[in-house]
Amino acid sequence: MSINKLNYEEWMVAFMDNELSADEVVEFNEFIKENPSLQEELSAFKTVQFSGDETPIYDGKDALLKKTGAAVLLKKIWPLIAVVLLTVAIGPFLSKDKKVKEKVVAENNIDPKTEIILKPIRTPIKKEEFINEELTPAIKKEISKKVQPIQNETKDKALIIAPEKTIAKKEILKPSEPRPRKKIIEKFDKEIVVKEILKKPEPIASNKEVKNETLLQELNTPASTSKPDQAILEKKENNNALVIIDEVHHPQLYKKMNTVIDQVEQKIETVKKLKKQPIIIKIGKTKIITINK
Amino acid sequence: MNSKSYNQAVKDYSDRLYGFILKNLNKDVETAKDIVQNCFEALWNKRADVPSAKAKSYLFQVAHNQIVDVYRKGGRMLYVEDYHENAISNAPATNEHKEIMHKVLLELPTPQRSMVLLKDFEGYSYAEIAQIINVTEGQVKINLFRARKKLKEIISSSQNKKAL
Repeated sequence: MSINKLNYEEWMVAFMDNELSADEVVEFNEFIKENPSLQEELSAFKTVQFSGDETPIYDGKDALLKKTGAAVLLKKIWPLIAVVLLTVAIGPFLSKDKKVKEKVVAENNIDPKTEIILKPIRTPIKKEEFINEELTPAIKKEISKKVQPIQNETKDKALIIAPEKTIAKKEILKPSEPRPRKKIIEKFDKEIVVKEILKKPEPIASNKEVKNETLLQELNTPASTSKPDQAILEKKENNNALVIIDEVHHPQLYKKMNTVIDQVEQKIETVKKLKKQPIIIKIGKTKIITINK
Repeated sequence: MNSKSYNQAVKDYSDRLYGFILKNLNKDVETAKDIVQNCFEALWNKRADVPSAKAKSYLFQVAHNQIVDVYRKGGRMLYVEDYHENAISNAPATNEHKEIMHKVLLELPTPQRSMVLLKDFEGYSYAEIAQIINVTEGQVKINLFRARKKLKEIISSSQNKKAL
């Protein structure tokens, strides 16, 4: 395109910016010579031309930069890496649990579809921990019966091998001992008349508090089998049945009763001093005699 | 354009883009920074469509459009009477002269100002400026001619006032 008055502006700008080729520059210069008014316009442009100056520094570059390469890749695949690491970490434990479950199913004939939950249990307490030197042999024996032998000391955490109950020390009681019974020694004396003894011998024999069967046997034998002695016959005249316990016929009973009667006499004397009422002597609930003051 | 090319564009063009915007906005630093950020955000969002070779012209194109929006929305006006006298009195060689000439630029319409800046400061060719401003190459030349002519008139007017 040749320069003319309609497009000279473009040529002039291009000339000022050194954008014209050599041929175009020659053509432009010839056109300016032919149009002197344009020379003033061209010279005026030189005063308004800008030149490059220092470029300001933009201080927000770091905020504009994007993460690249490995950082972006790591951000995308980190969940996958986490899953892999977790699998590697707990894989052996899962495998062991599976084996334990299979073992439980096989040994106990359980339906394989049954859900088996494995829970950690406390290690069973060993038997030796219960055996204390201060315990008596009888208690140790009792403990040994109660404490079950440890069936499985492996660390497998199968639920079914847990003992039902762990026996603590405080639960172990000493073997039961018979309660001490109150011993009551019946009181007979040759000088004390025992009424109704012939009529009701059973209460004496059946009295639970009288344990010495030998004494009872001695007491009953003369009355039933042997001949009544002289003392009994003499007293019978007064319509009283008497039992005379002498040293010859009732040696053990006589000896025993002597001791008891001494104690009874002492009691009677003590009571006499304190009270003026008649004294009633009983064997158990059976009234034996009443002594007037 | 990948992220690596984008980062390279940030390093290569952010300063010049910032300078271009700053001159256009009479050194409104905060607005200039916002526009720079918007330009690179737009580039990142369009990175699949913008080749690396076209990154610079794309950035300046977005910047020019945003500058036009700023002036359109804000109705910015600049009164240059105060510095015309200084521009002439201190002309032509000092830094202050450059400073005053930049302010005179603000008298121009935004497209003409952008063309002057892109040509004289950034060294773009007419074709590149035409692409950035979205006009023809001939229009770029004509607008550049008229912009410079107007600047000359402003300066001449100031010189006449001073003479009186």
